[in-house]
Amino acid sequence: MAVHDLTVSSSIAGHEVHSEHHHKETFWTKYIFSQDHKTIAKQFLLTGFISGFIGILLSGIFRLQLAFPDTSFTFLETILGKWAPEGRLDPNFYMALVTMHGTILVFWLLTGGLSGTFANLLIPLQLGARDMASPFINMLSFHFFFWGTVVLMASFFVESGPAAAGWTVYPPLSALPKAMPGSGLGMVLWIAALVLFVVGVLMGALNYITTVLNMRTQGMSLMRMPLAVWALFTVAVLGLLSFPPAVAAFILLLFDHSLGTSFYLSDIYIAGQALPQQGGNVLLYLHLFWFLGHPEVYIVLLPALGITSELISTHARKPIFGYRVMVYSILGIAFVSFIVWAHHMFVTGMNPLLGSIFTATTLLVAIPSAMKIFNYIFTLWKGNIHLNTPMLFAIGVVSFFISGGLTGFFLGVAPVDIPLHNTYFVVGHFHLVMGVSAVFAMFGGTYHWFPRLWGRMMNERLGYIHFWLTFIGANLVFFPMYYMGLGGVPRRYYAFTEFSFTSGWQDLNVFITIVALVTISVQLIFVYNFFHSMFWGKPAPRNPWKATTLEWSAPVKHLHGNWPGKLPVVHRWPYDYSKPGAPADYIPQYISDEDIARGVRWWEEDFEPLTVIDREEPSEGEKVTSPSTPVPVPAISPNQKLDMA
Amino acid sequence: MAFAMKPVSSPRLHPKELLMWLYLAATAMLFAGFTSAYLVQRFHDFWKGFEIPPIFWANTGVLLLSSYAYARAQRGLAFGNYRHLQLGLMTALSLGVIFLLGQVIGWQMLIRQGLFLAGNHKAVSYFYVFTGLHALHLGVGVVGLAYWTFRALRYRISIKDSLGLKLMGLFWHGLDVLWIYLIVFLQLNQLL
Repeated sequence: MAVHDLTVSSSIAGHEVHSEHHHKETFWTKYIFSQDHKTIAKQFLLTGFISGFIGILLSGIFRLQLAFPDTSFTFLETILGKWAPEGRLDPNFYMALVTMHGTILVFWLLTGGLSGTFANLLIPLQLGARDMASPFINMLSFHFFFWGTVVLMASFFVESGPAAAGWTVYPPLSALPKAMPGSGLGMVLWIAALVLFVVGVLMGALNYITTVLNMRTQGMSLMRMPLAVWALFTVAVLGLLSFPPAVAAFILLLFDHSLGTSFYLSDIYIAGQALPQQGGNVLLYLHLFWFLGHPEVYIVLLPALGITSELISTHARKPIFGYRVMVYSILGIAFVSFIVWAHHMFVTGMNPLLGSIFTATTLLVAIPSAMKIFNYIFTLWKGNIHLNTPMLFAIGVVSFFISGGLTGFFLGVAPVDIPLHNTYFVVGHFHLVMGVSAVFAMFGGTYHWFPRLWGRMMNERLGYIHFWLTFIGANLVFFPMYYMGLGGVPRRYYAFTEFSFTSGWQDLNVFITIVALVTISVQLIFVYNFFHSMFWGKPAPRNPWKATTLEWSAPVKHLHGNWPGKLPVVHRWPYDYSKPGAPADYIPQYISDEDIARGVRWWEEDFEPLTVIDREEPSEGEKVTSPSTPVPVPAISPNQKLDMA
Repeated sequence: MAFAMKPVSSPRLHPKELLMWLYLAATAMLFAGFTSAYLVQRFHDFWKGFEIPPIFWANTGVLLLSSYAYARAQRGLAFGNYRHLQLGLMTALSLGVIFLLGQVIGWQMLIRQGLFLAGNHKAVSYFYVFTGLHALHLGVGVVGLAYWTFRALRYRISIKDSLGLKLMGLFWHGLDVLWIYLIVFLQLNQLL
């Protein structure tokens, strides 16, 4: 019997260890069907950035329309064909542009792109794991995301155009195929793309949660995890709980749209003719959608704040202020995000008492958010601040989070929200607080972890120029929108020249458009810097920012399994910067007090972390749960003893 | 035989097992979304009930038996009884297929009564959505079961597959639990 068990254990070992073998990799296995979390992170980053770039180009087109509604631009007809007859944008297509801009940026860039990239890169590397719990599902996660992207982009090329009901696709506009061109096939493709996207996100989320709970290296207790990992973990839980109900909403919508049900439709008259659908409830869709929609804001924002925590602490050379408070505030924001969704629906005629309840819960969000902001500022206070590009972007995140977040008070309170609802005030608010701030975190994270991803540094000078122009540009674009919103200018209108109360803002519209176009063009600096550095950037040292976290202890050249020998063992929290009495201004997590006493000189250029890591006992993660090493199997398990007895 | 003993359990929950539990949680949230939609419209003036054909209850029994057969198969693997493993898997698979056929017959009975997915009869529309999506998931389960049965019949399952069979079992029993919830929920809403 014992012999059998040995065969079993070795066959498990044989099965598990094969990931360590060096397969001969082809282009397809290395770049397309890769199961390596680092490659998948790159895939998410590139897909996210490319779709994000398409998304902001769309905004360039509709901004042009808003600023110059009566001018014809012949080049528009060249690009858009029938959607811009004689160079003037078709109103239906304007709506489609707004819809696709929102969908692409919220879901593709800031959910798939942001979480997908940094969760894949950081969770295994910062926790000392060889890879995700299931590399195969991780690969599928990207492929679903990618095919979702393809379906979404394909909708630009169908005859009736892409979906055009706003990114929230409220029925009945989205549920009646004949309502407008964008309600036809484009809408079906939108739903299909979203379902593929959600499946991808969920597969990712399953992996992120499991990896965090089950595959941390020895010594990496939950309260020693970097805040970025905490944020990404929480976001995965949020996604797991909030995306499925949204899929339920989309499925019912698809049934209403294409199969003749009436879940959301009732009492609709088109040209005096009543439609047969009765008894449906539009508000039902709103509730289901915003049950995702509001947590979605934090699905976007929390990774941004997590990344910011890493960047600020590392580049200010100071421990993060109030680590535990930061963790609890992440969890607090996540919890509260589930009980605030109806603040998007104050104007739907809801019971005032319910409105007050949701006002109260909404304002609760301010508490953990403010804690985080204060902690960022206290971390910076008297720090040894290095104003390099990642740090600038991180400070940018904090700045936008404040200037966008403070207006959240206005919108969270029902009596103030009702007049401001669907005005440019809302547009300004969410662009600053979650749009631009999350994009800045993504830029900051890219500049910071670029050496980890591609082994080269990005150009600092171009990074500076990119930061300052984007920072100034984004403020000049979105801040004036608050004034327009207070003046009652509604969002999603095709032109503002029809009414006197909106045409008074036309000069500001022209100004915003010009700044927006310049800011969009400025992103080309980033594109150039990104691709140029990928191939010709300065080769990066192993730990270019002198950071403490584990990802910088792995070799620059990517290895399948991350560390060539043993896994690092963690001895301290991730923010030991400028520790009094320490021989350097940072102590990596894998350096123990004995290492320091023994005189290990980790701050020197030619220090090789593996000399410390490989001396350690094999870590617990290695012993128990890492996919790359055998699970120890007792010769005879307790069960067998019972059986034999 | 290579699998002549009980599977050795890992001291902690295996990552893939946790993954499957999380997947089940996501599925639960999907149906929670549908349930809340159902309850919102349940108390609407337009709502009217209908009689759920008894075959859906018969199908419930079939699915329960299938789960039981699967559990027998797992036990067969654990105790090294290949015959039990094969029989259990084949029974579970056949009962899964019978369940799906039974659902199709049930839907046809509804259609013969003039109860269609399309239209304004919400209770019926929801019934189709609930049972249809469950059947879709179950179809995936049947494909999985067919894979394991095929391997079992060709003697290609050994004790190191116990994790795979366990995951398959979680999925299959999960669908069973989901179905019991759905049928009880839908029936109660017709009675009350």
